Amino acid sequence: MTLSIQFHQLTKQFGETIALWRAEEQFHPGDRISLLGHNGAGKSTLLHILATLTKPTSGTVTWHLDGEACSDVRRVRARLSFLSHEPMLYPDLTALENLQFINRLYRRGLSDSELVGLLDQVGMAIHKDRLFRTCSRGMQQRISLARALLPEPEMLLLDEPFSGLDGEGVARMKDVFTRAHTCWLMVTHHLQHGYELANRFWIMNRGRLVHSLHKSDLSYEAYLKLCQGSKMEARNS
Amino acid sequence: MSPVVSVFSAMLHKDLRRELRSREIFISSFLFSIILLTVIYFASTSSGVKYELMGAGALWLCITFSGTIGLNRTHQSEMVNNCYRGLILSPADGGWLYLAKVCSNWLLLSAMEVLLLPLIALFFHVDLLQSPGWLALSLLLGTGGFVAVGTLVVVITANTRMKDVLFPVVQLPLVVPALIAGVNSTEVALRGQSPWNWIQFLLALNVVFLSVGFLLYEFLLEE
Repeated sequence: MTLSIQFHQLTKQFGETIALWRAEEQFHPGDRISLLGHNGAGKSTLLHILATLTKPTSGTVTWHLDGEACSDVRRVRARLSFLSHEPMLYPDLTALENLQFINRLYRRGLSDSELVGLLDQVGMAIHKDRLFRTCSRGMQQRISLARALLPEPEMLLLDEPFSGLDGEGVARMKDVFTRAHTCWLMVTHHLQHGYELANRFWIMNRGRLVHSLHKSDLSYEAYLKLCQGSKMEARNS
Repeated sequence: MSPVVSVFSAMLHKDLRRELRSREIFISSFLFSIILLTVIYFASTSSGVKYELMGAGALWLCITFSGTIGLNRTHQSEMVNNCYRGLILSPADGGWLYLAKVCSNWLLLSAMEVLLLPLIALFFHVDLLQSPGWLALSLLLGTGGFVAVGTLVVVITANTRMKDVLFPVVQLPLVVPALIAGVNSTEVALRGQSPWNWIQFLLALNVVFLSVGFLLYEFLLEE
Protein backbone atom coordinates (compact mmCIF):
# COMPACT_ATOMS: atom_id res chain seq x y z
CA MET A 1 0.00 0.00 0.00
CA THR A 2 1.56 3.27 -1.11
CA LEU A 3 0.40 6.86 -1.21
CA SER A 4 2.16 9.52 -3.25
CA ILE A 5 1.28 13.08 -4.18
CA GLN A 6 2.04 15.14 -7.24
CA PHE A 7 1.06 18.79 -7.48
CA HIS A 8 1.23 21.01 -10.51
CA GLN A 9 1.11 24.82 -10.82
CA LEU A 10 -0.52 25.08 -7.42
CA THR A 11 -1.68 28.59 -6.58
CA LYS A 12 -3.70 29.87 -3.63
CA GLN A 13 -4.92 33.43 -3.24
CA PHE A 14 -6.76 34.93 -0.30
CA GLY A 15 -8.32 38.02 -1.84
CA GLU A 16 -5.42 40.10 -3.14
CA THR A 17 -2.82 38.15 -1.19
CA ILE A 18 -0.97 35.38 -2.98
CA ALA A 19 -0.16 32.70 -0.39
CA LEU A 20 1.13 30.12 -2.86
CA TRP A 21 2.35 30.67 -6.39
CA ARG A 22 2.65 27.94 -9.01
CA ALA A 23 4.18 25.31 -6.75
CA GLU A 24 5.18 22.04 -8.40
CA GLU A 25 6.65 18.96 -6.78
CA GLN A 26 6.21 15.27 -6.05
CA PHE A 27 6.01 13.45 -2.76
CA HIS A 28 7.04 9.79 -3.05
CA PRO A 29 6.69 6.89 -0.61
CA GLY A 30 9.72 6.90 1.69
CA ASP A 31 10.16 10.65 1.50
CA ARG A 32 10.76 12.49 4.76
CA ILE A 33 10.60 16.10 3.82
CA SER A 34 11.28 19.21 5.88
CA LEU A 35 9.37 22.18 4.53
CA LEU A 36 11.19 25.35 5.49
CA GLY A 37 10.77 29.07 5.00
CA HIS A 38 10.07 32.30 6.81
CA ASN A 39 6.71 33.25 8.31
CA GLY A 40 4.14 33.80 5.59
CA ALA A 41 6.15 31.87 2.98
CA GLY A 42 3.13 29.66 2.22
CA LYS A 43 4.22 26.47 4.04
CA SER A 44 1.02 25.95 6.03
CA THR A 45 -1.11 26.82 3.01
CA LEU A 46 0.63 24.12 0.99
CA LEU A 47 0.22 21.66 3.86
CA HIS A 48 -3.50 22.41 4.17
CA ILE A 49 -4.00 21.88 0.44
CA LEU A 50 -2.16 18.55 0.52
CA ALA A 51 -4.22 17.53 3.58
CA THR A 52 -7.40 18.15 1.47
CA LEU A 53 -8.54 20.87 3.88
CA THR A 54 -8.14 23.81 1.50
CA LYS A 55 -8.91 23.98 -2.20
CA PRO A 56 -6.30 25.65 -4.41
CA THR A 57 -7.30 28.69 -6.46
CA SER A 58 -5.72 27.04 -9.49
CA GLY A 59 -3.48 24.09 -10.24
CA THR A 60 -3.93 20.42 -9.52
CA VAL A 61 -3.07 17.94 -6.81
CA THR A 62 -3.04 14.27 -7.82
CA TRP A 63 -2.99 11.57 -5.18
CA HIS A 64 -1.77 8.15 -6.24
CA LEU A 65 -2.96 5.16 -4.22
CA ASP A 66 -1.01 2.01 -4.97
CA GLY A 67 0.22 3.53 -8.22
CA GLU A 68 -3.19 4.62 -9.50
CA ALA A 69 -4.51 8.16 -9.54
CA CYS A 70 -7.33 8.57 -7.03
CA SER A 71 -9.88 11.38 -6.92
CA ASP A 72 -11.88 9.94 -4.00
CA VAL A 73 -10.94 12.35 -1.21
CA ARG A 74 -12.34 10.07 1.49
CA ARG A 75 -10.01 7.23 0.46
CA VAL A 76 -7.05 9.61 0.51
CA ARG A 77 -8.01 10.95 3.91
CA ALA A 78 -8.20 7.46 5.34
CA ARG A 79 -4.51 7.06 4.53
CA LEU A 80 -3.03 10.31 5.73
CA SER A 81 -2.90 12.11 9.06
CA PHE A 82 -2.53 15.78 9.78
CA LEU A 83 -0.94 17.25 12.90
CA SER A 84 -1.73 20.96 12.98
CA HIS A 85 -1.35 23.88 15.40
CA GLU A 86 -4.81 23.08 16.71
CA PRO A 87 -4.99 19.69 18.45
CA MET A 88 -8.38 18.67 16.96
CA LEU A 89 -9.23 16.96 20.27
CA TYR A 90 -12.16 17.58 22.63
CA PRO A 91 -11.31 19.53 25.80
CA ASP A 92 -14.00 17.87 27.93
CA LEU A 93 -12.82 14.33 27.18
CA THR A 94 -9.76 12.65 28.67
CA ALA A 95 -6.76 11.75 26.54
CA LEU A 96 -7.89 8.11 26.39
CA GLU A 97 -11.53 8.99 25.62
CA ASN A 98 -10.37 11.20 22.75
CA LEU A 99 -8.36 8.32 21.31
CA GLN A 100 -11.29 5.92 21.83
CA PHE A 101 -13.45 8.27 19.76
CA ILE A 102 -10.88 8.51 16.93
CA ASN A 103 -10.42 4.72 17.10
CA ARG A 104 -14.15 4.17 16.47
CA LEU A 105 -14.35 6.91 13.84
CA TYR A 106 -11.54 5.28 11.85
CA ARG A 107 -12.85 1.77 12.69
CA ARG A 108 -9.39 0.68 13.77
CA GLY A 109 -10.69 -1.74 16.40
CA LEU A 110 -7.84 -1.15 18.87
CA SER A 111 -8.30 -2.23 22.48
CA ASP A 112 -7.91 0.22 25.36
CA SER A 113 -4.54 -1.28 26.25
CA GLU A 114 -3.33 -0.69 22.70
CA LEU A 115 -4.52 2.91 22.90
CA VAL A 116 -2.68 3.35 26.19
CA GLY A 117 0.37 1.87 24.43
CA LEU A 118 0.05 4.59 21.82
CA LEU A 119 -0.06 7.23 24.54
CA ASP A 120 2.98 5.59 26.09
CA GLN A 121 4.92 6.12 22.85
CA VAL A 122 4.55 9.85 23.34
CA GLY A 123 5.06 9.68 27.12
CA MET A 124 1.44 10.40 28.02
CA ALA A 125 0.24 7.03 29.35
CA ILE A 126 0.26 8.26 32.96
CA HIS A 127 -2.03 11.14 31.94
CA LYS A 128 -4.54 8.96 30.08
CA ASP A 129 -7.40 9.83 32.45
CA ARG A 130 -6.68 13.53 32.57
CA LEU A 131 -9.12 15.89 30.86
CA PHE A 132 -7.55 17.23 27.70
CA ARG A 133 -8.27 20.85 28.65
CA THR A 134 -6.26 20.50 31.85
CA CYS A 135 -3.13 19.37 29.96
CA SER A 136 -0.33 21.83 29.20
CA ARG A 137 0.39 22.96 25.64
CA GLY A 138 3.25 20.49 25.31
CA MET A 139 1.18 17.60 26.68
CA GLN A 140 -1.62 18.44 24.28
CA GLN A 141 0.86 18.42 21.42
CA ARG A 142 2.04 14.93 22.40
CA ILE A 143 -1.50 13.59 22.67
CA SER A 144 -2.21 15.13 19.26
CA LEU A 145 0.69 13.14 17.86
CA ALA A 146 -0.82 9.96 19.32
CA ARG A 147 -4.09 10.92 17.59
CA ALA A 148 -2.26 11.40 14.29
CA LEU A 149 -0.51 8.03 14.60
CA LEU A 150 -3.66 6.11 15.60
CA PRO A 151 -5.00 5.47 12.07
CA GLU A 152 -1.56 4.09 11.04
CA PRO A 153 -1.31 6.60 8.19
CA GLU A 154 0.89 6.10 5.17
CA MET A 155 1.66 9.80 5.16
CA LEU A 156 1.96 12.29 8.00
CA LEU A 157 1.52 16.01 7.40
CA LEU A 158 3.06 17.87 10.32
CA ASP A 159 2.71 21.59 10.99
CA GLU A 160 5.43 22.65 13.44
CA PRO A 161 5.25 19.50 15.57
CA PHE A 162 7.93 20.67 18.03
CA SER A 163 6.18 23.86 19.13
CA GLY A 164 5.45 23.95 22.83
CA LEU A 165 7.49 20.82 23.61
CA ASP A 166 10.14 20.54 26.30
CA GLY A 167 13.45 18.73 25.73
CA GLU A 168 12.00 15.32 26.58
CA GLY A 169 9.01 15.92 24.35
CA VAL A 170 11.23 16.89 21.42
CA ALA A 171 13.37 13.78 21.95
CA ARG A 172 10.31 11.52 22.03
CA MET A 173 8.80 13.09 18.98
CA LYS A 174 12.06 12.80 17.05
CA ASP A 175 12.25 9.17 18.09
CA VAL A 176 8.69 8.55 16.83
CA PHE A 177 9.43 10.21 13.48
CA THR A 178 12.69 8.30 13.07
CA ARG A 179 11.12 4.92 13.82
CA ALA A 180 7.81 5.48 12.01
CA HIS A 181 7.25 3.36 8.90
CA THR A 182 5.53 6.24 7.27
CA CYS A 183 6.61 9.10 5.04
CA TRP A 184 6.06 12.62 6.24
CA LEU A 185 6.11 16.27 5.28
CA MET A 186 7.02 18.53 8.18
CA VAL A 187 6.77 22.29 8.40
CA THR A 188 9.38 23.45 10.89
CA HIS A 189 11.33 26.51 11.93
CA HIS A 190 13.74 24.33 13.87
CA LEU A 191 16.52 24.06 11.30
CA GLN A 192 18.62 21.47 13.17
CA HIS A 193 15.74 19.02 13.73
CA GLY A 194 14.61 19.65 10.17
CA TYR A 195 18.02 18.60 8.83
CA GLU A 196 18.53 15.62 11.17
CA LEU A 197 15.21 13.94 10.51
CA ALA A 198 14.54 14.55 6.82
CA ASN A 199 15.92 13.05 3.64
CA ARG A 200 14.57 15.85 1.45
CA PHE A 201 14.08 19.58 1.87
CA TRP A 202 11.62 21.96 0.30
CA ILE A 203 12.40 25.62 0.87
CA MET A 204 9.74 28.26 0.28
CA ASN A 205 9.99 31.99 -0.09
CA ARG A 206 7.10 34.44 -0.59
CA GLY A 207 4.69 31.77 -1.78
CA ARG A 208 7.13 30.06 -4.14
CA LEU A 209 8.72 26.67 -3.72
CA VAL A 210 12.26 27.86 -4.52
CA HIS A 211 14.40 24.82 -3.64
CA SER A 212 13.81 21.08 -3.62
CA LEU A 213 16.92 19.20 -2.55
CA HIS A 214 17.99 15.77 -1.36
CA LYS A 215 19.99 15.42 1.81
CA SER A 216 22.76 13.63 -0.10
CA ASP A 217 23.27 16.79 -2.18
CA LEU A 218 23.41 19.14 0.76
CA SER A 219 25.83 19.53 3.69
CA TYR A 220 24.48 20.96 6.93
CA GLU A 221 26.40 24.21 6.36
CA ALA A 222 25.03 24.61 2.84
CA TYR A 223 21.55 23.81 4.16
CA LEU A 224 21.82 26.49 6.86
CA LYS A 225 23.08 29.01 4.34
CA LEU A 226 20.19 28.22 2.01
CA CYS A 227 17.57 28.54 4.76
CA GLN A 228 19.07 31.75 6.13
CA GLY A 229 19.47 33.13 2.60
CA SER A 230 15.77 32.57 2.04
CA LYS A 231 14.98 34.42 5.25
CA MET A 232 17.30 37.32 4.37
CA GLU A 233 15.75 37.57 0.94
CA ALA A 234 12.29 37.66 2.48
CA ARG A 235 13.35 40.32 4.98
CA ASN A 236 14.90 42.52 2.29
CA SER A 237 11.92 42.26 -0.04
CA MET B 1 -20.23 -3.69 14.34
CA SER B 2 -21.00 -2.29 10.89
CA PRO B 3 -19.07 0.82 9.79
CA VAL B 4 -22.19 2.97 9.81
CA VAL B 5 -23.23 1.91 13.31
CA SER B 6 -19.66 2.40 14.55
CA VAL B 7 -19.49 6.01 13.30
CA PHE B 8 -23.01 6.81 14.52
CA SER B 9 -22.51 5.35 17.98
CA ALA B 10 -19.03 6.90 18.37
CA MET B 11 -20.36 10.37 17.63
CA LEU B 12 -23.45 9.98 19.79
CA HIS B 13 -21.48 8.48 22.67
CA LYS B 14 -18.92 11.28 22.51
CA ASP B 15 -21.54 14.07 22.47
CA LEU B 16 -23.55 12.63 25.35
CA ARG B 17 -20.46 11.90 27.42
CA ARG B 18 -19.25 15.48 26.99
CA GLU B 19 -22.62 16.91 27.95
CA LEU B 20 -23.06 14.60 30.93
CA ARG B 21 -19.65 15.73 32.15
CA SER B 22 -20.02 19.48 31.64
CA ARG B 23 -23.86 19.84 31.63
CA GLU B 24 -23.28 23.37 30.30
CA ILE B 25 -25.77 23.16 27.42
CA PHE B 26 -28.51 21.46 29.42
CA ILE B 27 -28.29 23.75 32.45
CA SER B 28 -28.12 27.01 30.47
CA SER B 29 -31.03 25.98 28.21
CA PHE B 30 -33.17 24.80 31.13
CA LEU B 31 -32.57 27.92 33.23
CA PHE B 32 -33.43 30.07 30.23
CA SER B 33 -36.66 28.10 29.79
CA ILE B 34 -37.69 28.67 33.41
CA ILE B 35 -37.13 32.42 33.05
CA LEU B 36 -39.16 32.41 29.83
CA LEU B 37 -42.01 30.44 31.45
CA THR B 38 -42.12 32.85 34.36
CA VAL B 39 -42.32 35.85 32.05
CA ILE B 40 -45.10 34.25 29.96
CA TYR B 41 -47.01 33.32 33.12
CA PHE B 42 -46.97 36.86 34.52
CA ALA B 43 -47.75 38.35 31.09
CA SER B 44 -50.81 36.10 30.78
CA THR B 45 -51.91 36.91 34.37
CA SER B 46 -51.96 40.63 33.66
CA SER B 47 -53.65 40.25 30.26
CA GLY B 48 -56.42 38.01 31.57
CA VAL B 49 -55.88 35.24 28.99
CA LYS B 50 -57.04 31.76 30.03
CA TYR B 51 -54.05 29.80 31.33
CA GLU B 52 -55.22 26.54 29.77
CA LEU B 53 -54.93 28.00 26.28
CA MET B 54 -51.33 29.11 26.84
CA GLY B 55 -49.74 25.75 27.78
CA ALA B 56 -48.79 24.43 24.34
CA GLY B 57 -47.61 27.82 23.09
CA ALA B 58 -45.50 28.47 26.18
CA LEU B 59 -43.90 25.04 25.96
CA TRP B 60 -42.98 25.53 22.30
CA LEU B 61 -41.62 29.02 22.94
CA CYS B 62 -39.27 27.47 25.50
CA ILE B 63 -38.30 24.69 23.08
CA THR B 64 -37.62 27.20 20.29
CA PHE B 65 -35.47 29.67 22.20
CA SER B 66 -33.68 27.22 24.49
CA GLY B 67 -33.19 24.84 21.58
CA THR B 68 -31.60 27.61 19.54
CA ILE B 69 -29.17 28.35 22.36
CA GLY B 70 -28.41 24.64 22.80
CA LEU B 71 -27.84 23.95 19.10
CA ASN B 72 -25.50 26.91 18.83
CA ARG B 73 -23.53 25.73 21.85
CA THR B 74 -23.21 22.14 20.66
CA HIS B 75 -21.76 23.28 17.37
CA GLN B 76 -19.44 25.78 19.05
CA SER B 77 -17.98 22.88 21.02
CA GLU B 78 -16.98 21.26 17.70
CA MET B 79 -15.21 24.47 16.70
CA VAL B 80 -13.02 24.50 19.84
CA ASN B 81 -9.54 23.15 18.99
CA ASN B 82 -10.75 22.80 15.38
CA CYS B 83 -12.33 19.46 16.28
CA TYR B 84 -14.63 19.70 13.26
CA ARG B 85 -11.52 19.44 11.06
CA GLY B 86 -10.79 16.12 12.70
CA LEU B 87 -14.26 15.01 11.60
CA ILE B 88 -13.72 16.28 8.04
CA LEU B 89 -10.40 14.45 7.80
CA SER B 90 -11.81 11.17 9.07
CA PRO B 91 -13.09 8.60 6.58
CA ALA B 92 -16.52 8.72 8.27
CA ASP B 93 -19.56 9.47 6.11
CA GLY B 94 -20.85 12.99 6.80
CA GLY B 95 -24.47 11.87 6.58
CA TRP B 96 -24.08 9.54 9.53
CA LEU B 97 -22.21 12.18 11.51
CA TYR B 98 -25.22 14.44 10.90
CA LEU B 99 -27.72 11.84 12.07
CA ALA B 100 -25.69 11.20 15.22
CA LYS B 101 -25.51 14.94 15.90
CA VAL B 102 -29.28 15.28 15.38
CA CYS B 103 -29.85 12.34 17.70
CA SER B 104 -27.75 13.78 20.53
CA ASN B 105 -29.37 17.23 20.17
CA TRP B 106 -32.77 15.51 20.08
CA LEU B 107 -32.06 13.59 23.28
CA LEU B 108 -30.81 16.70 25.11
CA LEU B 109 -33.80 18.80 24.11
CA SER B 110 -36.23 15.97 24.89
CA ALA B 111 -34.70 15.56 28.35
CA MET B 112 -35.25 19.27 28.94
CA GLU B 113 -38.89 18.94 27.79
CA VAL B 114 -39.46 16.14 30.32
CA LEU B 115 -38.41 18.54 33.09
CA LEU B 116 -40.43 21.40 31.62
CA LEU B 117 -43.72 19.50 31.36
CA PRO B 118 -44.50 19.45 35.12
CA LEU B 119 -43.77 23.18 35.24
CA ILE B 120 -46.14 23.77 32.33
CA ALA B 121 -48.81 21.77 34.16
CA LEU B 122 -48.20 23.82 37.30
CA PHE B 123 -48.11 27.25 35.67
CA PHE B 124 -50.87 26.78 33.09
CA HIS B 125 -53.19 24.28 34.81
CA VAL B 126 -53.09 21.72 32.00
CA ASP B 127 -53.65 17.99 32.44
CA LEU B 128 -50.70 16.16 30.95
CA LEU B 129 -52.34 12.77 31.35
CA GLN B 130 -55.35 13.36 29.08
CA SER B 131 -53.58 11.62 26.19
CA PRO B 132 -49.93 11.16 27.14
CA GLY B 133 -49.09 9.05 24.09
CA TRP B 134 -50.18 11.73 21.62
CA LEU B 135 -48.45 14.40 23.70
CA ALA B 136 -45.16 12.46 23.69
CA LEU B 137 -45.41 11.82 19.95
CA SER B 138 -46.16 15.48 19.22
CA LEU B 139 -43.16 16.63 21.22
CA LEU B 140 -40.81 13.98 19.81
CA LEU B 141 -41.68 14.68 16.19
CA GLY B 142 -41.87 18.46 16.56
CA THR B 143 -38.52 18.52 18.34
CA GLY B 144 -37.12 16.20 15.67
CA GLY B 145 -38.05 18.61 12.89
CA PHE B 146 -36.69 21.57 14.83
CA VAL B 147 -33.38 19.85 15.57
CA ALA B 148 -32.98 18.41 12.05
CA VAL B 149 -33.09 21.90 10.54
CA GLY B 150 -31.07 23.57 13.32
CA THR B 151 -28.21 21.05 13.17
CA LEU B 152 -27.82 21.81 9.47
CA VAL B 153 -28.25 25.59 9.63
CA VAL B 154 -25.77 26.01 12.48
CA VAL B 155 -23.06 24.54 10.22
CA ILE B 156 -23.91 27.00 7.44
CA THR B 157 -23.69 30.04 9.73
CA ALA B 158 -20.76 28.82 11.86
CA ASN B 159 -18.03 30.33 9.71
CA THR B 160 -19.62 33.75 9.33
CA ARG B 161 -18.58 36.77 11.35
CA MET B 162 -22.11 37.31 12.74
CA LYS B 163 -22.81 33.64 13.48
CA ASP B 164 -24.56 34.24 16.82
CA VAL B 165 -27.07 36.60 15.21
CA LEU B 166 -27.29 34.88 11.86
CA PHE B 167 -28.10 31.41 13.19
CA PRO B 168 -31.53 32.22 14.70
CA VAL B 169 -32.31 34.63 11.84
CA VAL B 170 -31.80 31.89 9.25
CA GLN B 171 -33.05 28.99 11.33
CA LEU B 172 -36.34 30.30 12.71
CA PRO B 173 -38.08 30.91 9.35
CA LEU B 174 -37.07 27.43 8.21
CA VAL B 175 -38.50 25.71 11.29
CA VAL B 176 -41.83 27.57 11.16
CA PRO B 177 -43.68 24.56 9.62
CA ALA B 178 -42.39 22.27 12.37
CA LEU B 179 -43.27 24.82 15.05
CA ILE B 180 -46.82 25.40 13.75
CA ALA B 181 -47.43 21.66 13.53
CA GLY B 182 -45.79 21.07 16.92
CA VAL B 183 -47.85 23.71 18.74
CA ASN B 184 -51.13 22.58 17.17
CA SER B 185 -50.44 18.90 17.73
CA THR B 186 -49.47 19.51 21.38
CA GLU B 187 -52.50 21.72 21.95
CA VAL B 188 -54.86 19.06 20.56
CA ALA B 189 -53.15 16.34 22.65
CA LEU B 190 -53.46 18.48 25.82
CA ARG B 191 -57.23 18.65 25.16
CA GLY B 192 -57.27 14.84 25.13
CA GLN B 193 -57.98 14.50 21.41
CA SER B 194 -56.10 12.79 18.61
CA PRO B 195 -53.77 15.08 16.61
CA TRP B 196 -53.29 12.43 13.89
CA ASN B 197 -53.39 14.92 10.98
CA TRP B 198 -50.67 17.05 12.54
CA ILE B 199 -48.65 13.96 13.41
CA GLN B 200 -48.73 12.86 9.77
CA PHE B 201 -47.55 16.30 8.71
CA LEU B 202 -44.74 16.22 11.30
CA LEU B 203 -43.68 12.76 10.13
CA ALA B 204 -43.42 13.98 6.55
CA LEU B 205 -41.47 17.08 7.65
CA ASN B 206 -39.03 14.93 9.61
CA VAL B 207 -38.41 12.66 6.63
CA VAL B 208 -37.78 15.65 4.33
CA PHE B 209 -35.56 17.57 6.78
CA LEU B 210 -33.51 14.52 7.79
CA SER B 211 -33.00 13.45 4.17
CA VAL B 212 -31.83 16.91 3.11
CA GLY B 213 -29.50 17.09 6.11
CA PHE B 214 -28.12 13.61 5.47
CA LEU B 215 -27.25 14.55 1.90
CA LEU B 216 -25.89 18.06 2.52
CA TYR B 217 -24.08 17.89 5.87
CA GLU B 218 -20.70 16.69 4.61
CA PHE B 219 -20.62 19.30 1.86
CA LEU B 220 -21.58 22.11 4.28
CA LEU B 221 -19.07 20.98 6.91
CA GLU B 222 -16.26 21.18 4.36
CA GLU B 223 -17.31 24.57 3.04
